[in-house]
Amino acid sequence: MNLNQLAGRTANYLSRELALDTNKIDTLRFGLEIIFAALIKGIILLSLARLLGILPEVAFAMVCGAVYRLLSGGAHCSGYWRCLTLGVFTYLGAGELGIYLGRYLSINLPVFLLLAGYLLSFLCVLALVPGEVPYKKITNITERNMFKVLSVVYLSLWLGVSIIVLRYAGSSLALAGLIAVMTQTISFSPPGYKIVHQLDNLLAGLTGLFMERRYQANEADR
Amino acid sequence: MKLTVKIIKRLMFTPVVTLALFVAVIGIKPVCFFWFYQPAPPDKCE
Repeated sequence: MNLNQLAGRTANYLSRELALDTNKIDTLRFGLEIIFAALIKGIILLSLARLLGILPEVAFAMVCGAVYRLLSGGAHCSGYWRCLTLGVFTYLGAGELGIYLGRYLSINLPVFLLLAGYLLSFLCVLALVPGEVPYKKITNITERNMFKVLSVVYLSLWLGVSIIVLRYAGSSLALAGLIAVMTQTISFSPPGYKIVHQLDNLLAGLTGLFMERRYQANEADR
Repeated sequence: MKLTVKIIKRLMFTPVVTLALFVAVIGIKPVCFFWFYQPAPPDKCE
Protein backbone atom coordinates (compact mmCIF):
# COMPACT_ATOMS: atom_id res chain seq x y z
CA MET A 1 0.00 0.00 0.00
CA ASN A 2 1.41 3.42 -0.87
CA LEU A 3 1.08 6.58 1.20
CA ASN A 4 -1.68 8.00 -1.01
CA GLN A 5 -3.82 4.86 -0.54
CA LEU A 6 -3.09 4.80 3.20
CA ALA A 7 -4.20 8.44 3.57
CA GLY A 8 -7.26 7.76 1.38
CA ARG A 9 -8.36 4.78 3.48
CA THR A 10 -7.80 6.69 6.73
CA ALA A 11 -9.79 9.65 5.38
CA ASN A 12 -12.65 7.33 4.36
CA TYR A 13 -12.67 5.68 7.80
CA LEU A 14 -12.57 8.99 9.70
CA SER A 15 -15.29 10.53 7.56
CA ARG A 16 -17.50 7.47 8.16
CA GLU A 17 -16.93 7.55 11.93
CA LEU A 18 -17.58 11.29 12.17
CA ALA A 19 -20.31 11.36 9.50
CA LEU A 20 -18.36 14.00 7.56
CA ASP A 21 -19.49 15.67 4.39
CA THR A 22 -18.40 13.43 1.44
CA ASN A 23 -16.93 16.33 -0.55
CA LYS A 24 -14.47 16.92 2.32
CA ILE A 25 -12.95 13.42 2.04
CA ASP A 26 -10.40 14.34 -0.66
CA THR A 27 -9.27 17.46 1.25
CA LEU A 28 -8.95 15.32 4.39
CA ARG A 29 -6.91 12.74 2.40
CA PHE A 30 -4.56 15.51 1.20
CA GLY A 31 -4.06 16.86 4.74
CA LEU A 32 -3.46 13.38 6.16
CA GLU A 33 -1.00 12.58 3.36
CA ILE A 34 1.02 15.69 4.24
CA ILE A 35 0.97 14.85 7.97
CA PHE A 36 1.95 11.18 7.42
CA ALA A 37 4.71 12.16 4.98
CA ALA A 38 6.20 14.71 7.38
CA LEU A 39 6.01 12.41 10.41
CA ILE A 40 7.54 9.38 8.70
CA LYS A 41 10.33 11.36 7.06
CA GLY A 42 11.11 13.47 10.14
CA ILE A 43 11.21 10.49 12.52
CA ILE A 44 13.36 8.30 10.21
CA LEU A 45 15.80 11.09 9.28
CA LEU A 46 16.30 12.43 12.80
CA SER A 47 16.55 8.93 14.34
CA LEU A 48 19.21 7.87 11.83
CA ALA A 49 21.08 11.16 12.37
CA ARG A 50 20.98 10.56 16.15
CA LEU A 51 22.27 7.00 15.71
CA LEU A 52 25.12 8.25 13.52
CA GLY A 53 25.91 11.04 16.01
CA ILE A 54 25.36 13.83 13.45
CA LEU A 55 22.00 15.17 14.69
CA PRO A 56 22.90 18.93 14.91
CA GLU A 57 24.41 18.98 11.40
CA VAL A 58 21.49 17.07 9.84
CA ALA A 59 18.89 19.20 11.68
CA PHE A 60 20.55 22.43 10.50
CA ALA A 61 20.89 21.11 6.92
CA MET A 62 17.23 20.00 7.01
CA VAL A 63 15.98 23.44 8.09
CA CYS A 64 18.19 25.25 5.51
CA GLY A 65 17.17 22.93 2.66
CA ALA A 66 13.48 22.45 3.46
CA VAL A 67 12.51 26.13 3.76
CA TYR A 68 14.45 26.97 0.59
CA ARG A 69 12.74 24.08 -1.23
CA LEU A 70 9.34 25.26 -0.06
CA LEU A 71 9.96 28.60 -1.80
CA SER A 72 11.87 27.47 -4.87
CA GLY A 73 10.29 24.15 -5.93
CA GLY A 74 12.28 21.54 -7.85
CA ALA A 75 12.47 17.97 -9.08
CA HIS A 76 10.43 15.18 -7.49
CA CYS A 77 10.44 11.42 -7.32
CA SER A 78 7.33 9.64 -8.54
CA GLY A 79 6.70 7.78 -5.25
CA TYR A 80 6.94 8.54 -1.55
CA TRP A 81 9.27 5.68 -0.54
CA ARG A 82 11.75 6.61 -3.27
CA CYS A 83 11.49 10.24 -2.12
CA LEU A 84 12.12 9.14 1.45
CA THR A 85 15.22 7.15 0.46
CA LEU A 86 16.66 9.97 -1.63
CA GLY A 87 15.82 12.64 0.97
CA VAL A 88 17.34 10.65 3.84
CA PHE A 89 20.54 9.98 1.86
CA THR A 90 20.80 13.63 0.80
CA TYR A 91 20.50 15.09 4.31
CA LEU A 92 22.57 12.41 6.05
CA GLY A 93 25.19 12.95 3.34
CA ALA A 94 25.09 16.72 3.92
CA GLY A 95 25.63 16.19 7.67
CA GLU A 96 28.49 13.69 7.22
CA LEU A 97 30.19 15.80 4.54
CA GLY A 98 29.85 18.92 6.72
CA ILE A 99 31.66 17.18 9.59
CA TYR A 100 34.33 15.72 7.28
CA LEU A 101 35.07 19.03 5.52
CA GLY A 102 34.89 20.97 8.78
CA ARG A 103 37.91 19.06 10.06
CA TYR A 104 40.10 19.82 7.07
CA LEU A 105 39.18 23.32 5.93
CA SER A 106 40.93 26.37 7.37
CA ILE A 107 38.87 28.95 9.28
CA ASN A 108 38.59 31.48 6.42
CA LEU A 109 37.75 29.10 3.60
CA PRO A 110 34.16 28.25 4.75
CA VAL A 111 33.29 31.99 4.63
CA PHE A 112 34.39 32.15 0.99
CA LEU A 113 32.55 28.91 0.24
CA LEU A 114 29.36 30.35 1.80
CA LEU A 115 29.70 33.54 -0.29
CA ALA A 116 30.35 31.55 -3.48
CA GLY A 117 27.36 29.28 -2.73
CA TYR A 118 25.17 32.33 -2.07
CA LEU A 119 26.16 34.05 -5.33
CA LEU A 120 25.66 30.92 -7.42
CA SER A 121 22.27 30.18 -5.80
CA PHE A 122 21.26 33.85 -6.18
CA LEU A 123 21.87 33.71 -9.95
CA CYS A 124 20.09 30.35 -10.28
CA VAL A 125 17.10 31.71 -8.32
CA LEU A 126 16.83 34.73 -10.64
CA ALA A 127 16.94 32.52 -13.71
CA LEU A 128 15.04 29.38 -12.71
CA VAL A 129 12.75 29.81 -9.65
CA PRO A 130 10.00 28.61 -9.22
CA GLY A 131 11.06 25.15 -10.37
CA GLU A 132 8.21 23.15 -11.87
CA VAL A 133 6.51 20.72 -9.47
CA PRO A 134 3.78 18.17 -10.13
CA TYR A 135 0.18 19.40 -9.58
CA LYS A 136 1.24 23.04 -9.22
CA LYS A 137 2.22 24.93 -12.35
CA ILE A 138 2.89 28.59 -11.62
CA THR A 139 2.39 30.61 -14.80
CA ASN A 140 1.32 33.94 -13.32
CA ILE A 141 4.24 36.40 -13.65
CA THR A 142 3.45 38.21 -10.36
CA GLU A 143 3.35 34.91 -8.50
CA ARG A 144 6.60 33.72 -10.15
CA ASN A 145 8.33 36.99 -9.17
CA MET A 146 7.00 36.66 -5.62
CA PHE A 147 8.66 33.24 -5.25
CA LYS A 148 11.91 34.63 -6.73
CA VAL A 149 11.91 37.53 -4.22
CA LEU A 150 11.04 35.23 -1.30
CA SER A 151 13.84 32.82 -2.29
CA VAL A 152 16.41 35.65 -2.53
CA VAL A 153 15.30 37.05 0.86
CA TYR A 154 15.55 33.58 2.36
CA LEU A 155 19.03 33.03 0.85
CA SER A 156 20.23 36.34 2.33
CA LEU A 157 18.88 35.35 5.75
CA TRP A 158 20.51 31.94 5.42
CA LEU A 159 23.88 33.55 4.60
CA GLY A 160 23.67 35.83 7.64
CA VAL A 161 22.67 33.02 10.00
CA SER A 162 25.34 30.70 8.54
CA ILE A 163 28.10 33.26 9.12
CA ILE A 164 26.94 33.67 12.75
CA VAL A 165 26.77 29.86 13.13
CA LEU A 166 30.25 29.57 11.60
CA ARG A 167 31.61 32.10 14.09
CA TYR A 168 29.96 30.72 17.24
CA ALA A 169 29.02 27.06 16.66
CA GLY A 170 31.69 25.68 14.34
CA SER A 171 32.20 25.17 10.64
CA SER A 172 30.63 21.70 10.33
CA LEU A 173 27.08 23.05 10.92
CA ALA A 174 27.48 25.89 8.41
CA LEU A 175 29.02 23.57 5.81
CA ALA A 176 26.19 21.01 6.22
CA GLY A 177 23.70 23.86 5.62
CA LEU A 178 25.68 25.01 2.56
CA ILE A 179 25.64 21.50 1.07
CA ALA A 180 21.86 21.26 1.63
CA VAL A 181 21.30 24.65 -0.04
CA MET A 182 23.53 23.75 -2.99
CA THR A 183 21.73 20.40 -3.42
CA GLN A 184 18.43 22.25 -3.51
CA THR A 185 19.81 24.76 -6.05
CA ILE A 186 20.85 21.84 -8.27
CA SER A 187 17.42 20.20 -7.83
CA PHE A 188 15.54 23.07 -9.51
CA SER A 189 18.06 23.44 -12.35
CA PRO A 190 17.64 21.46 -15.62
CA PRO A 191 20.54 19.03 -14.85
CA GLY A 192 19.00 18.49 -11.38
CA TYR A 193 15.70 17.37 -12.93
CA LYS A 194 17.63 14.86 -15.08
CA ILE A 195 19.63 13.57 -12.07
CA VAL A 196 16.54 13.14 -9.82
CA HIS A 197 14.63 11.50 -12.69
CA GLN A 198 17.49 9.03 -13.26
CA LEU A 199 17.83 8.28 -9.53
CA ASP A 200 14.05 7.81 -9.34
CA ASN A 201 14.21 5.31 -12.24
CA LEU A 202 17.17 3.54 -10.62
CA LEU A 203 15.34 3.19 -7.27
CA ALA A 204 12.15 2.08 -9.07
CA GLY A 205 14.23 -0.53 -10.94
CA LEU A 206 15.81 -1.77 -7.69
CA THR A 207 12.39 -2.00 -6.01
CA GLY A 208 11.01 -3.87 -9.03
CA LEU A 209 13.93 -6.33 -8.94
CA PHE A 210 13.47 -6.93 -5.20
CA MET A 211 9.70 -7.45 -5.54
CA GLU A 212 10.24 -9.86 -8.47
CA ARG A 213 12.75 -11.93 -6.47
CA ARG A 214 10.40 -12.08 -3.48
CA TYR A 215 7.54 -13.12 -5.76
CA GLN A 216 9.72 -15.85 -7.34
CA ALA A 217 10.77 -17.07 -3.85
CA ASN A 218 7.10 -17.22 -2.77
CA GLU A 219 6.21 -19.12 -5.92
CA ALA A 220 9.06 -21.61 -5.28
CA ASP A 221 7.85 -22.18 -1.70
CA ARG A 222 4.41 -23.28 -2.91
CA MET B 1 -21.84 0.55 25.49
CA LYS B 2 -22.01 1.21 21.75
CA LEU B 3 -22.84 4.85 22.40
CA THR B 4 -19.85 5.24 24.77
CA VAL B 5 -17.48 3.79 22.13
CA LYS B 6 -18.97 6.15 19.56
CA ILE B 7 -18.48 9.17 21.84
CA ILE B 8 -14.87 8.15 22.63
CA LYS B 9 -14.12 7.69 18.92
CA ARG B 10 -15.66 11.06 18.11
CA LEU B 11 -13.57 12.78 20.82
CA MET B 12 -10.39 11.10 19.55
CA PHE B 13 -10.88 11.60 15.83
CA THR B 14 -12.22 15.16 15.73
CA PRO B 15 -8.85 16.88 16.53
CA VAL B 16 -7.08 14.67 13.95
CA VAL B 17 -9.60 15.60 11.27
CA THR B 18 -9.49 19.30 12.18
CA LEU B 19 -5.68 19.30 12.03
CA ALA B 20 -5.66 17.44 8.68
CA LEU B 21 -8.16 19.89 7.15
CA PHE B 22 -6.12 22.83 8.47
CA VAL B 23 -2.86 21.40 7.03
CA ALA B 24 -4.63 20.78 3.70
CA VAL B 25 -5.63 24.44 3.52
CA ILE B 26 -2.05 25.60 4.16
CA GLY B 27 -0.46 22.82 2.12
CA ILE B 28 -2.13 23.81 -1.13
CA LYS B 29 -0.44 27.20 -1.31
CA PRO B 30 3.36 26.65 -1.31
CA VAL B 31 5.25 25.58 -4.40
CA CYS B 32 5.95 22.25 -2.76
CA PHE B 33 5.84 20.91 0.75
CA PHE B 34 8.43 18.15 0.82
CA TRP B 35 11.77 17.19 -0.52
CA PHE B 36 11.21 15.10 -3.61
CA TYR B 37 7.49 14.43 -2.96
CA GLN B 38 4.26 16.24 -3.71
CA PRO B 39 0.89 14.84 -2.56
CA ALA B 40 -1.88 15.31 -5.15
CA PRO B 41 -4.10 18.23 -4.04
CA PRO B 42 -7.89 17.74 -3.87
CA ASP B 43 -9.67 18.23 -7.24
CA LYS B 44 -11.51 21.42 -6.36
CA CYS B 45 -8.23 23.19 -5.45
CA GLU B 46 -6.59 22.64 -8.86
